[in-house]
Formats: sequence, structure tokens, C-alpha cells
Amino acid sequence: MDKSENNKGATNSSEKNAILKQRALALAVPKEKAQTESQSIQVLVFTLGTERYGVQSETVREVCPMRQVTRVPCVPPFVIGIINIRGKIFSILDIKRLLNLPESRSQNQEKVIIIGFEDIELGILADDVCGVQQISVSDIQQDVPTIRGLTNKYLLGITSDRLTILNVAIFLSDQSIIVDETV
Amino acid sequence: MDNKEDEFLTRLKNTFKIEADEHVQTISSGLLELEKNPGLQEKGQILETIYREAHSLKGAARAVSLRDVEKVCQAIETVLSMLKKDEIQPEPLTVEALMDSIEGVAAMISSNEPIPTGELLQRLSKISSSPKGNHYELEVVVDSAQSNETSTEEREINKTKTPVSVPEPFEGQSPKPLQQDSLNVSAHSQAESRAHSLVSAQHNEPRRAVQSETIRIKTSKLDALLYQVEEMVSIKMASNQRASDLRKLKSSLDSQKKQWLKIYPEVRMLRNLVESEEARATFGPSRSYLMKMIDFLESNEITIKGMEARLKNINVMAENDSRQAASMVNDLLDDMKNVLMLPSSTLLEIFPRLVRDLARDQAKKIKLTVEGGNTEIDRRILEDMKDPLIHLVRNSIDHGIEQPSLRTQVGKTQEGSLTISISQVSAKKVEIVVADDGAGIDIQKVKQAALMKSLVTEQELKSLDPKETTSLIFRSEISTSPIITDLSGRGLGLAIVREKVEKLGGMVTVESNLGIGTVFRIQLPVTLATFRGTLVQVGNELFVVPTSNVIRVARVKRDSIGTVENRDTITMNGRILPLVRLADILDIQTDPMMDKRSEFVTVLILGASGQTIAFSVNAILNEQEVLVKSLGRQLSRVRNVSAGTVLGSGQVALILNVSDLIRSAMLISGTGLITHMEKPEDIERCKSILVVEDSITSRMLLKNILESAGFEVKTAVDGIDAWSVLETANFDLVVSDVEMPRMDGFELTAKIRSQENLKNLPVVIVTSLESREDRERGIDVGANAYIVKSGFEQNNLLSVVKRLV
Repeated sequence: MDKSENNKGATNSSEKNAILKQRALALAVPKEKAQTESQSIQVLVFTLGTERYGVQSETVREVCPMRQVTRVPCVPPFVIGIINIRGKIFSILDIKRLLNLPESRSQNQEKVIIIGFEDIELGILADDVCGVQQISVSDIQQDVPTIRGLTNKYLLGITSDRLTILNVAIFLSDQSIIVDETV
Repeated sequence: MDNKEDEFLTRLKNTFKIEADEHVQTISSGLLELEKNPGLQEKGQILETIYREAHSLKGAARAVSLRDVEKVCQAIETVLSMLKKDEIQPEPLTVEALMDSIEGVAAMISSNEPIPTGELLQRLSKISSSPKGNHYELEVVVDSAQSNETSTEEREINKTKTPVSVPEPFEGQSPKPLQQDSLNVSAHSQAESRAHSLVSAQHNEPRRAVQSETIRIKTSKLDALLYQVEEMVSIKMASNQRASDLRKLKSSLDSQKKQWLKIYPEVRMLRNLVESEEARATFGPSRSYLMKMIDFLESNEITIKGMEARLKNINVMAENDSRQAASMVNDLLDDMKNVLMLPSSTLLEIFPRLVRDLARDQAKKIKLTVEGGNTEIDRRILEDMKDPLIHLVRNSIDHGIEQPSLRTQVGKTQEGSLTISISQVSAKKVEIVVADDGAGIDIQKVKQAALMKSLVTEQELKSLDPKETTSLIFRSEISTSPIITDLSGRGLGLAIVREKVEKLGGMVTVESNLGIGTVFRIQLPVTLATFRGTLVQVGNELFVVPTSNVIRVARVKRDSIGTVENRDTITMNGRILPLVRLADILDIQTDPMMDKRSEFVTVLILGASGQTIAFSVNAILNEQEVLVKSLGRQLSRVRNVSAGTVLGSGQVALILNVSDLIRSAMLISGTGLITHMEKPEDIERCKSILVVEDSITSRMLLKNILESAGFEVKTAVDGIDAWSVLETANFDLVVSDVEMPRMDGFELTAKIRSQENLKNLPVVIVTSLESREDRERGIDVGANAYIVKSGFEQNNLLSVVKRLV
């Protein structure tokens, strides 16, 4: 795509082209595990601290950079606040806290992933979003005895390359994340 | 494949359910009309409509292969077609059978499970197969016709008595009287002619399906559209902002120009000076620098002139754009709101059925008049008004309208009348009136109850007019039982009605005449959309307070704040008001030094549900239009917060719930805040009880029960809250719920037992958990009593409590 631009830098354009070609070839190699649609699921991969997590793509409504958040008083600490996306207000949850992960600040611009299931939609805060990945169903291991607590409650499975896939349907159906309090 | 087909069928069934609901609703409303003995023409129309609906329902049921539904519909259709052909008459038993059948159909559809239809089918076929059934039931018919006649007569008297002025139904449409049509031919003409003149407009739109050009759109799609249109409001505001920025830029350029004009003669003189011959000698080489500078200044002026012209152009264009955008966005928003409006009949159509059932359950005779189904109101308002209206109607039937025998005794008609009417009072406002001709509200009893709860003093009572006194029933603390009847729940229910109405930006009032009737009037905005909000700053955060709740804003001198029982108070118009820091209620950290520095405190005096409290804030910024936005399902209900809004800057701010704030303030400073000033000191300390309960309804209920038994009651919302209250005050007993957020009742009990100074404090656990394990666990952790809510009676609780304290 950028060939013409590269050619302008006349001196070592052939060198650059070679590198670009190499890269293109590397990217073009089909992933060994990419499977046909019926046996795989599509997952949006993101990071929390040093670990990688995933949610099924069809539950993801939108991904956007974290923006100015308005704090909400009188809510549990896992609610970071609310943001406005195109006129609609979404609450943002601290998924690290919900999964009992250590607190850490991201170096990069944090991302908000808006997930939805049935009539509930909300944002979770990710340190970074890596992209979408096809994952073979056979590669997902469902019972991992060492994972306990909340992660286990919301766990869909873990892949061989240590990607933890969360079950958005269970997470969003969990009544304990709903704030419904009267004075 | 199978999977896909199943999925399709499920989807189809869901669609069918929605459709079927509408058919069922129309059919049962039609049947109800039929029950009222309409005139011949009306009857024909009604039958035509429900016949058509039953037919469509049958077809739809066949499409999703619900054979049972289809069969019942078929039988209903047969009966209806006979009714249409006048082969049989719509006698009560026939209508009843049809009603039950359609109810059965509804049940089958909603439960998705086969329900035995044999009995229904039998009843229907009996009607359709034996036209003789007519004569068989003739006696009954005559009876009902006679009672109908008398009641019509009585209604005449009644009508003149009713304190409700019933507004004329929708203009432009002559009210269609649904006359009382007697079945008995002899009574027919007489009753009809009378009914004609008396009973104007019942349901003024008899089920004539309005067949206009409409399409069905998912509400979620409409909502998404509305969000986008609402978002355009911020574009409008931004564009306005840009235009005014440009205006400022231009005016600063103007002032620069003035300065230039002032200095220009000097520049000219300087140029002449520098250009003159003698200057060569005086300035030497620096003369050329000066020349350059003067040249630059002059060329600068030319540039600025050009820029000014362009700026002026842009400015004009920006203002035009902004004006245009504003009017387009406003129009778009108005149109969008119109799209979201529904005729209020969608809300009203549930009532004929509800009233009929309630009246039957209580053996009361009630004639319901529903008016103004054409008035269009925002869908969201209609949805939110459903519960409050049901509550008011229930109240009228439960407490208002008397038993037929009693009514006769006091000279009223046997049949009570209940009117629900919706009318447009102005372009932006509608009024809903719920009126009955029942017993009314006994002001004396309201006064007594208010005095007993120390909500008002004797003196204050004297200054209240009867209407204001009646309005006391909206206060949640008013114990319900002493008012009007022995059925409790009224006080709290009305408080909720008021809260809901106020949340929608409306107001509710009540008028009542003892023995004559009660009228509730609810004024509501037609659309939700915008309302006026006051922007306040607490700490570094911005909040919006609905201006309708702001009684006044003030700056008070810090040293004028007095304390009563260690609580801050201020004096406003000779009244002592409690003063609470809004930051404390919202758990916002503020710099205490900052607070102390200023000589004045900014105070917002808020009122809701008849209570008034002053809140101190850091600053009150301005008042502006705000657009209410839901916080979403995850934040279903947040304490003290009602919704969100997007400010002109694009920043999201929270709209505070004033009723909650006031309740929170009361919790922080204990109950009876306003009145403890005037309250005479109790000489003998009464026993105090802490009620720990997360549900507000149960909490108020427990509080009411215990307070009316003479205990002093404080409340806490969960275990943690209770614990902090226990640390600051002494109690004689704790009544606690089990299931609560943060810390449950068992944990709380265990914690109380583990504390040296509290270990002997009696604890009563009140719960809906009725398992043996829980009971045992209650005893294990050291509770003194365990009362299950399902078997929870006032006396039981009181006797347990009295035994323990």
C-alpha cells in the first residue's frame, strides 16, 4: 500500500521494499489454529495487568479509548463511574477489582469495552485491547482447578496459550453487579 | 438446521405473543363494554371489532400451531357470530363465559403450556348450541335490567353530588354515549332515553380500531434514534458557543483597532520625522530600522483590516449556522418527542378490567368512567405512571367507595362511581384526575395521625387550610391505619405516588370532602425531555438538582449557624432548618480548610415530600435546561441519584434525587430532624429500638408498627450501617432483617454478641427465610427471636418485642 511513499525516499527504497515484502509474507501466513467458523469462536482479546483476557465478540458492542469519567457517589467501589458515548450513558466497571486482580495502572491509554447481554449494557476498563482472535472450541479448556473465586464464576474457559475467556452472559446476569439501593 | 428451525419458531412465537396480547386486550375491553349494556348501534360496533380480533387471533394461533388456542378462539368466534346475528343476546352469563375463555387463551399463550380447555369449550358450545338458554336465563336478565334501571336513576342524583368536574372529552369529537341498554325490552326504551341524557361519555372511543397508516417499530430502535437526536443538542450548544467565541474575538480585534486609531497620528508623525532630512543625521544607521518598523506597522494594519473583514464574514456565517442548527435541532427533537408519544388509552385500557375484578372481590358496585384516551403523552411517562395510577385506583376502591349497603344508608347510589380522566391543560401539560364518590378522607384523623407522629405542631396545624391538611397524607410517616379505614399501606403508597410524580417533573394534589368523595389530581409534563436544573459544585464535582425542588438558595454567615443537639441548623424566615453538608451525604472528600476559609456558607434549601432541609455546597453555578438520561440497567437505582445528564461541555453530571437526599440527611442526623426542636422533652425516656432493614417498604412498615406502639425507632439500611449507629447510641433492642447488602443480619447479630457492652442487647430477626437451617443459624449466632415474615403479624412482633425489652 505504502509503496509509492517508500519510493520517494529514493536512497534505500529497494531495501525498504524487501522488508515490507517480508513483513507482508509473515502476516499472510494463515494462523495454524485458524479454523472454520463452526468449530471456533471469535474473541476480543484485551489485557488486564500482565494477563490476557477475552470476551466473545458478539457480546462486544463497542471499544473506545477511556475518556473523562464522572464519578458516581453511593455506589460500590467496583463502579468506576459513568461516561457518555453518543448521547447514551454507560457505567464503567473495574473488572480487575471484580476478578480480584492486583491494582495496576496501564502505561497506555486505557480502553473501554462496552459489552452487552439481553437488556444490560455496560463498559469494562481494559489496560489495552489486542484485537480479535479466532479460537478453536477444542482448544478451550473449561475446568482449571487452580482458578477459583470470581474468575471461575465468570469463566468460559482457558486456551492453551493462557488466554482467559470470560463468559459475558453469566457476568452480566450476575445480580451482585447490579446496583439497586434505596435510602 | 434443526436448530435454525427451532430458533425461527421461537422467534415466531415471541412475535405471536406480542400480537396476541393486543388481540386479547382489545377483545376483553370489548367484552367489558358489552357488559355495560351498550346501545344497539354501539353493540354492533363492539361485536364487529371483537369478532374480527378473535378471528385474527385464531389465524395467528394456527400459524404457530397452537391448536388449543385455535380451538377456543373458534368456539369464541361461533358465539360472537351468533351474537352478531342477534340469535342470542349478550347476557351476563354469556359475556362471563367469553371473558373466562379469553382469559384462558391469554393464560395459554403466556404460559406456553397446554391448559385444559374442555370446560371452556363446553360452556361456549352450550351457549351456541342452545338458543333456548336465552329463555332459561330470562329471569336473571330481568332482574339485572331492573337494578340497572334503578341505578341509572340514582346516578342522576349521584352525578350532581360528585365534586368532580368532568372535563368534556376530546374536542372536535362529539362524545359517543354508551347508553345503558337494558336487555329487557320493556325497560329498554325508558332506560335508554334516560341514560342517553345522563351518562355522557364513558369510554368515548368504543373500540373502533383506528386503522391509520402505521408501521411497527421496535421501541429500542426509536430510543436509539432519540439518543442521537438528543446528542445533537450538545452540537447545538457547541455551535452556539463557537459563535459567541467568534463574537468575542471580533470585539477584541475592535478594541485593538481603536488603539491603533489612537496611536496612528503618532505613527504618521514618526514616519514624517524619520523621513525628513535632519533625521539622517540624528538617527544615523538606526534610521533604516525605524523605517522598517514603521513599514511593518502600517502593513500590519492592512493585514488586520483584511482579517477583520474575513472574521466579520465568518462571524455572521457562524451565527447563521448556529441559529439554523438550533432551530433544526429543536424541530427534530420536538418531532422525535412526538414520535414517542402514545395515546393515553394504552395506559387506561387496563383499568376497566382491574376495577371490575377489584370491585367483584370486595363485593362493591362500581361504575368506572374513563376519559381522554386520545390525549398523547410520552411513552416513558405513561409507563412510569402505570403503578401510581393503579395505586390510586386501588385506594379508591379499597378505602374510598363504601359497601353498597352502607352507601344506601348514607343516601348515595348503591353503585359507586370512579372516574379516571386525562386531559390536556396546556401545550406542555396534562392532568390526570382520579375521582371517586366514596367516603372521603377524614381530616380530623389525618390531623391526629400527623400530631401523633410529630410531623406538625398544633400551631402549625391551625395555620393549615383543609387542603394543606389533606395533603399530609402524602407524608410517608403518617401512619396509615388511623386514616379512613383499617387497611394499612395507604400512607406509604401515597408517598411513593408522590415521589414518582415528582420525579417526572409533575405534582399531585388531593381534595376530599368527608362523605362525598376524593379527587386526586396529577399534573404532568407531556414529554420527559428537559427540565430546569440547578448546577451545584460539591468538592470538585458537579451535580444537578431539579429546580422544582429548590426552595431557595442563600449565603449564610458561618457564625450564624447554630447547633441543636450537636446538629447544625440555620434560621430561614424565622424557621429553624437543619443544615447538612451535601458532601457528607454523597461521600465526597472535600478540603476542610477550604470550607472554613470563607466567611459565608452557600446553602441550597431543598424540599421534597413535605420536608425541608438546608444543604451546604461549595458553589451554586447556574440554572439551566437539562436532559434526563438513564444510567442504564447496571445502575438500576443508586442512592441519592436519580439520573444523569450531559452538560453543554460534553461532561456528564448526575442529577440528584432530592427525596433520597432528604431521607439520607434524616438518617445521618437521626429521625424527626425538623421537629425535634419544637418537640417537648419526653420526661420518661421511652424504649428505643433500632430497625435494620434494606427494603424501604419493610423498614417503614416496621418503623410504623413499632412507633405506634410507643417505641422510639431509629433505622439503618444494612449491618454495617447498623453497627455504626450502635456505636454512637444506646438501644434497648435491635430488629433486623437477614438478607442485606454488605453485612447480613446473622453477621450483625454475631458481631453484637461478640462485643462486651452489647452482648446482652436483645436481637429479633425478621426474615422471609423460612428454612429450619436459617432458624437454627439465627439461634446459633445468638438472636433472641426469629420471626418469619410470611407469618409476620403486627401483634406477634409487638408481643415478642415487649417481652424482650
